[in-house]
Amino acid sequence: MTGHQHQYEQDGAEQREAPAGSDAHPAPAPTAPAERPLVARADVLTFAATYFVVGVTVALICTTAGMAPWLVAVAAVTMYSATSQLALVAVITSGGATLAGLASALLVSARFGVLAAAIAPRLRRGAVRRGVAAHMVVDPSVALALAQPDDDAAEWVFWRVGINLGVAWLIGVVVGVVVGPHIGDPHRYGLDAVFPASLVAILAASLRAGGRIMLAVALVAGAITLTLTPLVPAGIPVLAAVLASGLVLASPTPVGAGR
Amino acid sequence: MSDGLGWPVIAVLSVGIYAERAAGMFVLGPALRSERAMRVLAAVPVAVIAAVVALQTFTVGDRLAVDARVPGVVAAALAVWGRAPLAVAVVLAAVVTATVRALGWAA
Repeated sequence: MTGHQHQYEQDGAEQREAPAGSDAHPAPAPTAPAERPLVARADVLTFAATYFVVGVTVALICTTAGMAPWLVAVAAVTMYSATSQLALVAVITSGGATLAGLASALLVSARFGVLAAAIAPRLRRGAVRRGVAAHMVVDPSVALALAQPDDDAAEWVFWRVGINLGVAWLIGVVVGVVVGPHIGDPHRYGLDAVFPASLVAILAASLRAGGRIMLAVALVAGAITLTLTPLVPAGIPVLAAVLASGLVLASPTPVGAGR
Repeated sequence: MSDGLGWPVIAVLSVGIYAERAAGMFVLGPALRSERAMRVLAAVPVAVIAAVVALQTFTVGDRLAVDARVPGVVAAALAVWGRAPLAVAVVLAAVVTATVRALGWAA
């Protein structure tokens, strides 16, 4: 991923002038072979592996909390939000009311609405296509797609990453439900560090492309989140952190690839 | 089994979460087309992901916590900074966190 990012920083101008219509494999950098992917296959596989691990972990936590195994798997598809599913379980198992659990889960997932708004202008028209795309909105698919220099590339990366992660996540949840009782505590294997670590890698790519102002956005967003977490219900800190993205207006020139 | 984890709750959440995503895709996104709005939207994933990283690394429930995840994620960040492949960074995070836990240095 980082290698391609670097390439785009140098070759962004040529990229934008490259002929459109090769949406399966958008125009490569001049030195790259024509079939070179925009996000390396190894990176997509690693993100998929990460989502598999997250799926197993969420399935373990949900079934341990008393959620029916079939329902855990159904929720994985219909909710498609690990953090939201965890928020629900956290509230309910700590004795919270059902309504509080619902509110908490919906607040945690509200960030997907903002991410969907961010990717919407880069995707092609078509209500059905966009309707499906909306469900595929997760943090990595949007971030990696937005880092692409042109809309064709963004669309291709969005779908490729989104579908790979979705499938891996579902397989992880099913595996977690089936073999979960035999695995033991996933924390013993350090699996709870896997999700944030993979997100750090995404962040690094955006920071390299976006410069100091993006670093400021990331730091302020993290600070807002940690400051608010002990004070307000789950989900609100992340939504408040979105305000940090307004910092880019303090930068005189547009930042970020392709905009 | 708690009622709070039954199928009606999951059904409501499934509809609700899709509504959130669709609202962004069909309403909020198309409404924000000015140059300034586009610049801010392009930075939104950075803010959101930084926030989620902060939560997943430094909090347990609604309280702040520094545990074995922190050295794991820091190790991954250093690896990424040194342009190590993503897979290396992720595996490193798990290994460091698991090791710190196994040694009893942190929870």
